[in-house]
Amino acid sequence: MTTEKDTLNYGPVLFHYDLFPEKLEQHGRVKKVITKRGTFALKEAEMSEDERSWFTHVIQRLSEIGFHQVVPLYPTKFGDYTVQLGSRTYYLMPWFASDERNERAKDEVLIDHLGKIHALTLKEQDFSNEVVEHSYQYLMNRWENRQYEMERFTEEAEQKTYMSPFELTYLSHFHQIMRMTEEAKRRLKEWYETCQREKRYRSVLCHGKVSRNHLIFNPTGEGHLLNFEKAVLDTPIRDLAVYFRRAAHQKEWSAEEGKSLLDLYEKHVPLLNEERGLLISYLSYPEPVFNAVDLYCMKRNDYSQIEMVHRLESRIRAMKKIRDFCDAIMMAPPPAPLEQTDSIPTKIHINDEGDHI
Amino acid sequence: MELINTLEKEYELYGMRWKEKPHIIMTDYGEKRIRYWSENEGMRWHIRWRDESSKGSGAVPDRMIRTKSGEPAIKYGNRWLTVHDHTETLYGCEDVERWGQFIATLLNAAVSVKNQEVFLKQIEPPVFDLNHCMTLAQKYLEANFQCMVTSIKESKQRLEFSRAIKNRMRNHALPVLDKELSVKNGKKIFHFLFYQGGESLPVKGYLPLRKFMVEWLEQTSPSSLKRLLTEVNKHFSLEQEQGLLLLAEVVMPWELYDCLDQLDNSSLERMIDGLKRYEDCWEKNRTLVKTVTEWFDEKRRKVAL
Repeated sequence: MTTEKDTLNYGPVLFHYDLFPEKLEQHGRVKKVITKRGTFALKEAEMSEDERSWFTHVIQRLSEIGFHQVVPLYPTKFGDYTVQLGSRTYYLMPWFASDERNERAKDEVLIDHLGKIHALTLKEQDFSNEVVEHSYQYLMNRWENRQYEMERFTEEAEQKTYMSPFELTYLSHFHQIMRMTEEAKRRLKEWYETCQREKRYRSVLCHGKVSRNHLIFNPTGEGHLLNFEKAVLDTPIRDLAVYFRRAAHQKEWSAEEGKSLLDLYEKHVPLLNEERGLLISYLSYPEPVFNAVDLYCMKRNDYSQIEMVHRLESRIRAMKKIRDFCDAIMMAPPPAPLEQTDSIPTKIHINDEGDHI
Repeated sequence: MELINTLEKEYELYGMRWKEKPHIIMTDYGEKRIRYWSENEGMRWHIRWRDESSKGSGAVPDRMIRTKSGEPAIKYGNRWLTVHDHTETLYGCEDVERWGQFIATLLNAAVSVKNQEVFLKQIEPPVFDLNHCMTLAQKYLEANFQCMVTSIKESKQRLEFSRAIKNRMRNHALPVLDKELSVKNGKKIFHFLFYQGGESLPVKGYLPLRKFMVEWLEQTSPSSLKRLLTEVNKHFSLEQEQGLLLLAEVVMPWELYDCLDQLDNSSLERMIDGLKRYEDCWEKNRTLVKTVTEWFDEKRRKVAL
């Protein structure tokens, strides 16, 4: 339902597109804008000036390199692709109604598109010891600190005469969680050593926020990606890890399904051995479980014990599926050789807290 | 119809017809204004300040609507032509915060003039000419009108003060502003400030802002002007060199030209009317100088405390 207030609030933004809304509907962070000229999706975001220009550049670049399965941005009448109003940034896209017939195919289309983008933007970078060293040390330190926090939580829980159901659940899986942590660290160290030895590192344009929600189908049934606000040049594993970690939380998801999706991806970009190791490392690290513990420690009054336990159990179940998936991908065939290119990355983001569930 | 046809071909605008030939057209997307430019560099400057000052101030200047191929202007005969939004509803002076933020954005854009330097270097800041004023005043001075004697004396003192500041600040870049900075150009679309800029050659220095402040004062009050300065200062610092340069322009007795313009000794009645207007004009500007200097004093005192 559109109110006069809505029209006034969004009027200054829609003015840039010469749109006069007949109706505005809220769909998450997107407004559905119904006008005489058609129906549009207005996305609200928080971006700095640099992020805005990078975001616009990414969308344009994807089109230039031949990837057209991106929800296009409409330019304003002044030729800009975003509108800045106070601290908020807005951009306008066509509105695609959700088509449930395509829901089942979503993961395949998503992974296929991701593979295409990665293949089109793949570059083998000149090896920079400093960059790799910094990235490795940063992540290893963060993981060790997190591990230490979890060990402390465990010790405190063990000293209690009566443990809470949450603590009890956590403790009964503690050794398994720690085994996965150690596995993640071991794999990360291996990745680092291989990088040092092989002196190679590949980067692609990562979507940065891969999710089923960021794929929609146009009226002809063609899947389009959206929300490139967090796009970044990084290892292809960044996107894959975010995707598979999320996917593992779906009830029906299985290691076999994950393996066939990874095979689909590898038709576009066959992974190098060290990249496969890095993927296993990212996925093995039980960050989602640790986040559930954080939530328990900080917001235990906001949720019931049963809710907290359910959340933790669901994450542990996902962790087990992830472990099976990692076992499956370790046995993958060796990848095809690379072509040489010449660009140098300024930094490698090999992990990001925001990517975790 | 030839121009309408050209516009329809070049722009994503439909249903075009004249409302006020040759400047205002109606389209399916509302009224649009057409501006004509005979000089390309001047137009480029106007495109730039409009684009720059649209960034994040919560106000929207009348930027050039882009053509289908993304250009801000089209060549039409031996001139250039640009298309802008247009509305008549005035914004008024109630929303001091929005105006202050917009002026600050204008000033920020106006002091960062890295591009088009050659064009801008050719523009000289306006210079106050006391000798010219004295020549104009000569024929009235014999009558020894009190208001004239006082104002000319004060003008000399203010001129000296202003020159001293400008001399001290001579190494600091002056802003380059649209000549027609005016409250009347502030229009309302939805509830936001839509600012319709001008077409003239830009002015180097704070004179356009001084004129804007005189106008603001006419429509509001000294306390409102102080609030406006406070709002500007939140986004564009007036507590350093640029503030002093603004103060120098405010103190400069520019109003003496306007005061002398009011005088007419063709009859006694006209002379008396002229002197009344002279006094009014002088007093109005005196209030400006007093208000602005008070604002700077208050700022300094707050810092000292």
